[in-house]
Amino acid sequence: MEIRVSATRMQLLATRKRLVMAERGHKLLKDKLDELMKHFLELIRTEHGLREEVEDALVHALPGFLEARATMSNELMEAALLVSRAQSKIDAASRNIMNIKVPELTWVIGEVQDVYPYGFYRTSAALDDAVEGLTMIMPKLVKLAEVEKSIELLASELERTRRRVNALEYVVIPNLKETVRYVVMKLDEAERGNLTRLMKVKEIVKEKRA
Amino acid sequence: MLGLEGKYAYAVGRSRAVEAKLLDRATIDRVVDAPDVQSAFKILGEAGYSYVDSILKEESPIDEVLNKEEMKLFYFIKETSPDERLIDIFTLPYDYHNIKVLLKARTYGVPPASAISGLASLSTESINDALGGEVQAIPDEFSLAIERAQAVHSLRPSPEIIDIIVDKEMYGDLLKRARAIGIPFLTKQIQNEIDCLNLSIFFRARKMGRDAWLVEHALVPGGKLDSVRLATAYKDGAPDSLMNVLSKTGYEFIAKRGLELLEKGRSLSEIERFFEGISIRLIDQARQVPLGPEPFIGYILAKQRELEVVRLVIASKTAGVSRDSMRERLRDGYV
Repeated sequence: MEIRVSATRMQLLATRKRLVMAERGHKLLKDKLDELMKHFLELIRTEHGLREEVEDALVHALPGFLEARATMSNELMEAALLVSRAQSKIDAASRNIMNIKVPELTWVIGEVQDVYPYGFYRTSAALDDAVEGLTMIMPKLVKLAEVEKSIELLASELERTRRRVNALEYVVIPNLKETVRYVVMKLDEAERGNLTRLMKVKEIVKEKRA
Repeated sequence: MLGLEGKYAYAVGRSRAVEAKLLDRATIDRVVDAPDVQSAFKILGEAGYSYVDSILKEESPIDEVLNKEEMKLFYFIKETSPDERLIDIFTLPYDYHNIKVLLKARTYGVPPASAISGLASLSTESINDALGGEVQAIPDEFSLAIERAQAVHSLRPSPEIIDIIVDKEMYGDLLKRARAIGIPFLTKQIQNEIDCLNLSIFFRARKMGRDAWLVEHALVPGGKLDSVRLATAYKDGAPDSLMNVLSKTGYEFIAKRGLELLEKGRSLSEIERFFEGISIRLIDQARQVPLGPEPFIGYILAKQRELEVVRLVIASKTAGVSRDSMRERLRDGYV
């Protein structure tokens, strides 16, 4: 590796300062990486549980829709679900995990006794089951979206941090150490050259006096 | 003057001729066994379903195919029936369907879009005019249904109220028209539908946890079962109350099974299959009558049942349901 620095004492001090700074940054980033990883793994565990629950519920609810669709025409299905019985919304806020803004979603459903917006004629019991199943799963589905987005954001931050840690650990710090070594070596060499010169001068002076 | 048997002789002849074209069990089995949806449509095309080739490329052509088949059935009724009022019995549900859709759309400010049925006899413009205040734009019974639905909806504003009141009015209208036509089998068929709907309301409402007020308004009078007693049994909540209402009506086994399913918290689809069975037995009986309006109406109902079976098979096939499951579902469900 080519080192392009002037081998001066000033440069040595500056490089050592940078090295100390880089090592401190590396330690901090490594701590951040560990903490991020801890949160990340925690979210992954939550996501696994939620996804299992959601998929399980969907497996039960969707065949209901399938059965309903097989016994109801498109017009009947559209008419049955034309108007939503429950007024619902998703409240979106954000929270901080290691200075990363992650979403916080809440499924808010208005006060309703039930969620079936259709009558009984030409609608099937399978549709009731499907609507009920999907209504029950909605809060978890929204929570799953929140967790998965958080995981995505954390993963990208993890990747960025890991790249920084690696850059410091494998490039910046070794380079700075190499630079320090180089400058020290050059300064030592200059020191030795000076010493030799002085000894030579002393010898010449001694010879002249004799 | 001709009696009903003589009056319907031509219609019976025509229906006997065309009922040979109804899909038999073997053809349904071939559709079930078809490797893909396109092949299933081809088999349907061979079995007489027209309009299939032209729409094979569409994403979900089943509704279009079946609507066109039903439209053909309506033409058949129109040109064959000696009583021109008979067609109304079969188009009325679509008229009331569009009334429900447009009333809900207007009340809740949503576009009716693809919920409108093309099989209705009333135009959407005339229904919209009636909803806008021009009540003379549609016949009185329809505007009365709108008026009653709006009145009950104002007491308890929610979309299903519009559905249940309009449905109730529809059955009232159907019964009135059937009695006016004077075919006892037709009246019996509608009463059977009302009974099945009322039982379905009872069990489904119980499972959904709906209140007695809604059930009382949803239950349709005019069937063989007393809707008032049924409403009281619902309010009462005890299983014995329902069994008392249904005692000696022929529906006891449905009540027993329905209560069992409710207790176990299982799907009520099985009950709906019982209703299908009852309807199929009624159609079978009608088709065995040698002369009179019964075989003619029996053919119409059998064709409508066939369309339901085709929808079931194609929709299941599109969704990748296994052949065994389809066969299980169709076991007793075909005429």
